Amino acid sequence: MDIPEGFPDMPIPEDNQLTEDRVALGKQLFYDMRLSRQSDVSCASCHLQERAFADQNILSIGTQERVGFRNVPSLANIGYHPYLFREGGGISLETQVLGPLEAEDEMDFNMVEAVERLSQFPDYQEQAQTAYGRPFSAFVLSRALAAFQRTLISGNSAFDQDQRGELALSEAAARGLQLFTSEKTNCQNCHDGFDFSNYAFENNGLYEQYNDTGRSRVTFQDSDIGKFKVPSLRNVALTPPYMHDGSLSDLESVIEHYNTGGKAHVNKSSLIRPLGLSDDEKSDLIEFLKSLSDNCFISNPDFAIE
Amino acid sequence: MSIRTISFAVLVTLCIGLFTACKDDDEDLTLSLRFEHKFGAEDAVYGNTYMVNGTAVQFDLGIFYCSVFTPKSSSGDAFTSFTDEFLLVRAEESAAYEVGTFSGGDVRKLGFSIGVDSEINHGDPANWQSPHPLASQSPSMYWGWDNGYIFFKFEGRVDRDNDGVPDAIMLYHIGKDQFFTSTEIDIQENPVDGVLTAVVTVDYAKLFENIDILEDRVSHTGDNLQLAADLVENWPRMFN
Ligand code: HEC
Ligand code: HEC
Repeated sequence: MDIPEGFPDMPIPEDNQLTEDRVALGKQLFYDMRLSRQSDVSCASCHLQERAFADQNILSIGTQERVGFRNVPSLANIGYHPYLFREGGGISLETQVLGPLEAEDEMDFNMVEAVERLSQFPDYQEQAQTAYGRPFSAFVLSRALAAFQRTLISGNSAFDQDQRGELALSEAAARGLQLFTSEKTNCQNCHDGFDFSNYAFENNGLYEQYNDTGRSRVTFQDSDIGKFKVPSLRNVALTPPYMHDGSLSDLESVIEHYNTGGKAHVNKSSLIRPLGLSDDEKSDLIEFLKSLSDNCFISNPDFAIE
Repeated sequence: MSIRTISFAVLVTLCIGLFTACKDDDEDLTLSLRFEHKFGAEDAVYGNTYMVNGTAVQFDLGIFYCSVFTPKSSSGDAFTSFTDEFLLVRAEESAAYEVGTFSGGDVRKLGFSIGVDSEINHGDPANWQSPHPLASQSPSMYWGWDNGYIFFKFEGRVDRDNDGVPDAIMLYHIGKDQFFTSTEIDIQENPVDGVLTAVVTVDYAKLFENIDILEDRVSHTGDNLQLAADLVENWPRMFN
């Protein structure tokens, strides 16, 4: 696995160290529709490589066109996330698999039944033995999918090339970067570090009243209402619409949201307040966000299936 | 037979005699549990309808985890505690579950918990190999989006419009660390051939005490925390 310059080491569980066989098996599973009860959706139906492993829908669309309740997030650099899902209830990529697999509006299947089904294919049995030295099982299924997803690393955008001194950002994007890191916008206070996220749970003032209460769904604390995991901004120009519910259709709307300071909410971060950005500043910020798109990542044949 | 073997045989015979003399205290005892599933006085059977405070309730699913089995004397002293044993009890199964063996005594009480402890709760079912109760299950006993075991599932239907036909969905899926609950029951049975088979009666009708089943019909725990807490408060009453 090639770790880009400036990226930290990825934490990888002892029992699931990466090998080519494990990753190859995981890739095959990621693209396999038989993981859904009706064999009509795979992980890749919602996590599309050309969209940086997100999709273009407002809310996710699962088996039998069932509409979910959240916008699909990108899986770029997902191996670095300390917890998964927008409210953070997923403890590891290994356990996270049960989420989509068993959700009625996603794959509507069951781990026991999925393993029963896939165990019947000699290819999978063989690959399970080579990759994990045991028959195909829930262990193999969850480990292999996690292993493949850990290889989904994106760190070759125009911004990265500029950082490495290979290619300079456009002037507008460079001005946008300045603004992004400045106290005028505070963007970097939350969208921080190599992955443009501090992975904290924050309320960014999207609503006065949240239908989807976010973090409080797992903590049951009122002080967590409307808080969601700060998303990475890598490839963000490729993944409209935005926010947990896909309610903002484009980057212009997102910048406008932050510029107005968002809606009033007791849990809203004090960093979210009217910014007074000029039209030029807004478009500079957008140019910067566009510079985070990684074309190598979305066209890398290692992540695609023939 | 040599002298040595003979004296060994005598010794063994003596020992057996000794052990029999004080068998109430030191004999190895295997604890086994048989669950009897009831709705009040009737057997609980999937698809059947029962009257709960004058309302018809159809029973479709009853399944829960038990753990931390602690056999005790009449005065409440624990003989041992089985902290690594887990049972997934399904209402449609009547088989006895073997918990484990300990150097026994006169067991008159049994402590146990509904659910699993927080360490297990935040583990990965794929680390357990089927048919272990903590491995992945069908129907699922683990939340994929808020990782943790579902301690207790009850599903059925309730007759909302009072026409005698249960129609409205009832669904209680309860988990989360704070609802890991311990309880204690009395044991009447005596061991037979070194096996103490305790019969545990589970009365699902008791689950609904102080619950307005016409209104409070659905809780996945987090989406109706108050209802979850009210149900959990009834758990100890269900076991006898
Ligand atoms: C029906 C569409 C759909 C399918 C199919 C699907 N996902 Fe997702 N995925 C989503 C949505 C929506 C979310 C965000 C859910 C949330 O945060 O509550 C998500 C979140 C995730 C996350 C967590 C991302 C984060 O930022 O925390 C991972 C990892 C993931 N999916 C992997 C997979 C894998 C592996 C599969 C196949 C087993 C899969 N998904 C199948 C829609 C889908
Ligand atoms: C207080 C922390 C915080 C600050 C400051 C902040 N954000 Fe965010 N940002 C978030 C959170 C949390 C979300 C996700 C909200 C949701 O899912 O509903 C988000 C979402 C976004 C998204 C949408 C990403 C997606 O994939 O849906 C973009 C783009 C974005 N922020 C850009 C910015 C910019 C530009 C700034 C500065 C003007 C900024 N953010 C400042 C916390 C913050």
